[in-house]
Amino acid sequence: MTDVLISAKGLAKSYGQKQALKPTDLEVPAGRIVGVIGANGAGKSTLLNCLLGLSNYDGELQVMGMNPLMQRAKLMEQVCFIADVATLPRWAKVADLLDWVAGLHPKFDQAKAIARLKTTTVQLNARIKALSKGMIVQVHLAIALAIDARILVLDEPTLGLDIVNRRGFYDAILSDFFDETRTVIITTHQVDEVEPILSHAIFIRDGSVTLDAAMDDIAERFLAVDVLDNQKAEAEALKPLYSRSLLGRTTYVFDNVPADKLRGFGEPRRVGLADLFVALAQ
Amino acid sequence: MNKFLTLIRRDLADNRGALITTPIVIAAIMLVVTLFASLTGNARFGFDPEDFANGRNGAAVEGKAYIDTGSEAVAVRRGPDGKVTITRPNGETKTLDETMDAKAKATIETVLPVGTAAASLLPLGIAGIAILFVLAGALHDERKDRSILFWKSMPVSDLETAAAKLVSIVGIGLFFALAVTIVLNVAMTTIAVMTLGNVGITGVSASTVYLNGVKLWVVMAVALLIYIGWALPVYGWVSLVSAWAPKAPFIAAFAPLFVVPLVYMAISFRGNEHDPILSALWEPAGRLIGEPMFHEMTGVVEKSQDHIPTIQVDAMLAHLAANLGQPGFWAGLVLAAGFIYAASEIRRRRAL
Repeated sequence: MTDVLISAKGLAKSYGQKQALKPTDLEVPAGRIVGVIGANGAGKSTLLNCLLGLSNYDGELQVMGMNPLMQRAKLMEQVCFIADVATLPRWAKVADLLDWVAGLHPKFDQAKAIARLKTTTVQLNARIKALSKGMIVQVHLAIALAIDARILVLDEPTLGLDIVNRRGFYDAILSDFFDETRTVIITTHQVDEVEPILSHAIFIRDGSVTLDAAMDDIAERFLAVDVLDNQKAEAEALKPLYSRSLLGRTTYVFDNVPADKLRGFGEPRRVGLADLFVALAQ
Repeated sequence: MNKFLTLIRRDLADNRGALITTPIVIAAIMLVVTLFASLTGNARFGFDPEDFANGRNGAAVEGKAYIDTGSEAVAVRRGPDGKVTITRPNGETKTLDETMDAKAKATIETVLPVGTAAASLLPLGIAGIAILFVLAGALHDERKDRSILFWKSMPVSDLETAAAKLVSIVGIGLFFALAVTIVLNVAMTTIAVMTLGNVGITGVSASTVYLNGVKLWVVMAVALLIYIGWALPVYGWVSLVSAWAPKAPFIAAFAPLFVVPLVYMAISFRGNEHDPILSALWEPAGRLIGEPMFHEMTGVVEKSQDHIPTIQVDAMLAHLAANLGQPGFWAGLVLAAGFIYAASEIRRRRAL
């Protein structure tokens, strides 16, 4: 039996008249790395806030079998989240912060966090406000990875970081956190960087989930092919999802069209998440 | 419990400047000033020795029962060894010690610790004001700097968080200031006792002075506890506003407490100081300055039958204990609990 960590039925959230998240059904088992992808204001953070018990909501929602809004404190023993790079208290010293987390979180391994930080340039007696963005992320990551959680939620965790720190961040998540018993949920604008590590993707547009699928299914279902001008009419007869003309070639994205049918135009290839997101947004 | 203590440690670290450093710095400044004043010698008794030489001011000195002269002018001299002598117009010269009888010295044993205790209260008073600012920012600033998102990733309830902030800022903040006040009191009393010896006054029991000081500390500690009880609904209100206010939480918290009664006074007040509406509107401010606690309280010092003043420890403690019998005291605590719960609920339902 699959260990379902997150289950939502008709999950919705409104701010006054505006429905930031339209009724959504969701089921996330263990062993997934889920990318939540959408434009600014699409409802990604609203969804995560609901999952984390950070805001009220309508509908049914269970995370680790708990109601996040009513049982957030208990839930956070099993869920860890990094909202963005600027949420650590700037006035605190790194060592004090580790002490406090050790006092507050029963599943925090302080020695593990310190060991990780000793491999970085972060000084334990430094104040957070004295650290660079990259260092702050190292501290936050050291804390998160030292917590024995089942779910790790990352909301734009690498915003403002350079490419080296971004890559190091995701490498650490994969090597030091993820296994088949845990789930990672990521929202980010740097879709191309997380795409290789995702097992599932959820697209959100205007508060609605427009796609919720495994990456393998996406690779099979959506295919792109470059079509010559003299074959465009034939290709368009297969009702492509999206087309884009560039440098004398037209790229078509197809949904649920067998690869064999597309080979007549050229070699079909899988569609990148960024391209697919744009295609589905058309 | 470990979590709660950790939250308190965190909040104390967050507000170290206002809650810890400020009372210590104020006490240090007061100590330096007192030490400087006593060393320069112009204020060895807390008044200028030249006042002794001035007949008009002699009455005030007499009123404190330090000397047994009438209102005639006397000459006061301080020798190289610091001893003070007083020469009357008829040429009679006595040391200051000789002018004082046993009752006068017993009076010093009582009055001196009261005076130094009163002088030492400044750190506590300043802390009482500082905690209002800290409390107003407690649940607001974490939203402002977004650190609430980090703290909410910890398995700690919003009620625990709000309660810990109240305990650390109000409880520990004020009692730490009281501890600083007591340490300052010990230092100032010691300086005063040494000064007594320096000017040649004998027979004043230092141990009695300190014992009277200890009695006052007990009264102060109990009074502080009762004060917090009276003021707790105001502190709870401030916490609630801190959790809710989008900006300027201090103004948002205190403007209603002062502006509403002032507006009422401007519109409807007809000179009746016992106007029940006005009394109700001013009650939060009154609680904040401890007005209900000190209502009809007897003096700290009272002369006994043999005219030796005594510190009214029992009477003061009884008066303070009587506060526990007032329904308003307990109603305030219930209201405070409601405010804290509401503050935690507001914090629970919003991320930023």
